[in-house]
Amino acid sequence: MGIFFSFFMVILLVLIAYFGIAAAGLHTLFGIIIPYAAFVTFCIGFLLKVIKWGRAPVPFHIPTTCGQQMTLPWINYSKLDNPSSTSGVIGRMILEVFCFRSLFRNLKTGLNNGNISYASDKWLWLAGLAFHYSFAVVLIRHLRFFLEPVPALINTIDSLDGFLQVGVPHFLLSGGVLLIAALYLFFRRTSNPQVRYISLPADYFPLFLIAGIALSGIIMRYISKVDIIKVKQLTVSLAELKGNAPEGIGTIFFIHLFLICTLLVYFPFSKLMHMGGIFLSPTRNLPNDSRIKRHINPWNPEVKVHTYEAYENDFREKMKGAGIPVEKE
Amino acid sequence: MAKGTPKPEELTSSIDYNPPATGWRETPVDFKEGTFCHGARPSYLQDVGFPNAREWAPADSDWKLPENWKEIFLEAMGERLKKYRSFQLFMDICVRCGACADKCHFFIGTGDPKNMPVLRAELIRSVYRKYFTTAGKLLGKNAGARELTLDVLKELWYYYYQCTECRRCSVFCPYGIDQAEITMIVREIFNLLGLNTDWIAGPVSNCYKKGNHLGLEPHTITSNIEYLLDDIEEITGIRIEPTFNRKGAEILFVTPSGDLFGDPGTYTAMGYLMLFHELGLDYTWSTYASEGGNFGFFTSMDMAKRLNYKKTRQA
Ligand code: HEM
Ligand code: SF4
Ligand code: SF4
Repeated sequence: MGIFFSFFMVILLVLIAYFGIAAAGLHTLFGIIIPYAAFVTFCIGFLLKVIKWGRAPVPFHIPTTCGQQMTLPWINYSKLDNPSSTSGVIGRMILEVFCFRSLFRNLKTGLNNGNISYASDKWLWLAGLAFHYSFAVVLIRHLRFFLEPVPALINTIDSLDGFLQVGVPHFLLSGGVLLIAALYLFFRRTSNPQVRYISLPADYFPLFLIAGIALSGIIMRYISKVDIIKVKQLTVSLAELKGNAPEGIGTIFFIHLFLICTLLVYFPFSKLMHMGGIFLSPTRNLPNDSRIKRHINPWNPEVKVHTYEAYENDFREKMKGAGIPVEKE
Repeated sequence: MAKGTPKPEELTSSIDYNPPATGWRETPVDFKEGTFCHGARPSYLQDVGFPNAREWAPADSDWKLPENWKEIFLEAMGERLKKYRSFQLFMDICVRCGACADKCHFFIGTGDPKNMPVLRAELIRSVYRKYFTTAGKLLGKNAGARELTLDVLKELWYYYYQCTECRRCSVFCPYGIDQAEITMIVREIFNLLGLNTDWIAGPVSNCYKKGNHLGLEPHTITSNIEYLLDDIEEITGIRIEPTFNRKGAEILFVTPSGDLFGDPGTYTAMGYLMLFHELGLDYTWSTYASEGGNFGFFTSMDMAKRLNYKKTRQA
């Protein structure tokens, strides 16, 4: 079963980090070598994938049309759902990337007393937005560990994120939302029979991994506190490419770090590449102007055609009989 | 084909949107009567020079494939991954969120989970992972990969001919993953193995040879239009006299050939015949390029081009 397989993979990762630090004391390996290797793998892997996509030509100019096409000036057309210009495409892409617009259209198809019926279904959209935005906020907040002095913007985000002002240290919303959203997405994946049916280990694994990262982060911040001064020493030394791993940070930190490294390595080889792919998707990033401009297939092959002459040869007598003009008598 | 047409209630009562207990890779394909077309007859394929023309039936166990069908398939697939960014990208980035799952009319009408666009794509994606990704080669099933066997080929065929390339799924996908494009590409590969349906190969051959999918020959086109003109005259008292294959006309009018052949298309045709007459347009019909649709898209891109040529040539 994909669920258990993925779950145990994540547990295994946790155990590797735990024993690597608590039993073997491999601070340099887990604190410096693996993070660098993971970061390099991520960057190169991401780049190679995007280059691979970029090198493949786009012979079809067929964006998905979701509204009235541009025709005559006095007929209103759908500038965002069927863009005919670059500005329309940019608008469409911004809405897709920042608002998950297509997902917002989601419907649920069901059977109601033998009638097929449709109902609005926005939960995936909502959870997806919560998941991705909290991930983004967490990511930006973490820059404080790598930058010295900490930029004012990051401090602002921090204080907004902790505006509830509960707990010591202040509870940060983003981490909690990330964990809950990841758990909801997991819940949806297992409870919706259709989604469960299509799910692969590669779908459960990133959810468990990200939930694990969020959970270990939350534990580290609020429960089993780590020596944050030393953590910052390590992270700043990583950012300055010096890399020295102080001892005595606390094992939970290395578990957190190791899971993140796994995510980085896993990223370019998995569906998580949708982050890069969404920008290159030809059905979304092309203007629908094939009736305005002629687009020619880049390799434009020579093909065998049935010429008019051959057609006339086949049907000349019949054409003459029907009074259709012919070129050769 | 189906024996007798079932009533709507009979159809909806048999739909169950809950997938079966066995996983989709373990559920063998079942060619249900009435849900697939006849295999293309050899003459149609010969007309357009497609390979492996032979008598065959999808329900047969022996599809009379060429010896090296697997190599042909995989080689053609690899070539197309490099030639179509869409295909490569759509193989890589689906997150299986399921937003497209219940948007396909084939799924809505059958409840067969392999008719969910995402699973239709997974049928080929699993093959992609096995032969074109490192993870799939190493981890096999745990990476969602599977071997291309004869059964997998048949399953692909069965479900890739249950897609009308309507692109509704693409509207709902957050990344615009377009099953229609995947379907076109996979069917193109099928054509290299002589795996087409009679209902597609026939129109293609007709368009190629006769100019329209119904196979109307030039004199039939004119006489069909004559009938429509007679009807118009009877009702309105006006005799319209359109021209055919006239050089120098300002407009070449190309319409779906069904408009000349069956109701209700004929009413549409009568409508625009009258409209054009009223507007006094300088237009002409073509018997050579007498099909508005391009049936080639249901077989291969090159075939589409071979048919499109006719329209531009005539203009
Ligand atoms: C440009 C940036 C990104 C965009 C526009 C984007 C968009 C989306 C959308 C629309 C979905 C489908 C809805 C859903 O299931 O939530 C999705 C799913 C997902 N995304 Fe992203 N994403 C981006 C970056 C990322 C990053 C950086 C990660 C994590 C490292 C990520 C992880 C995931 C995961 C795990 C899922 C699947 C959730 C599930 O199992 O249902 N995404 N993404
Ligand atoms: S909507 Fe798009 S990303 Fe989601 S399962 Fe369907 S094809 Fe995949
Ligand atoms: S393009 Fe094919 S898979 Fe997608 S909704 Fe239409 S028929 Fe279904």
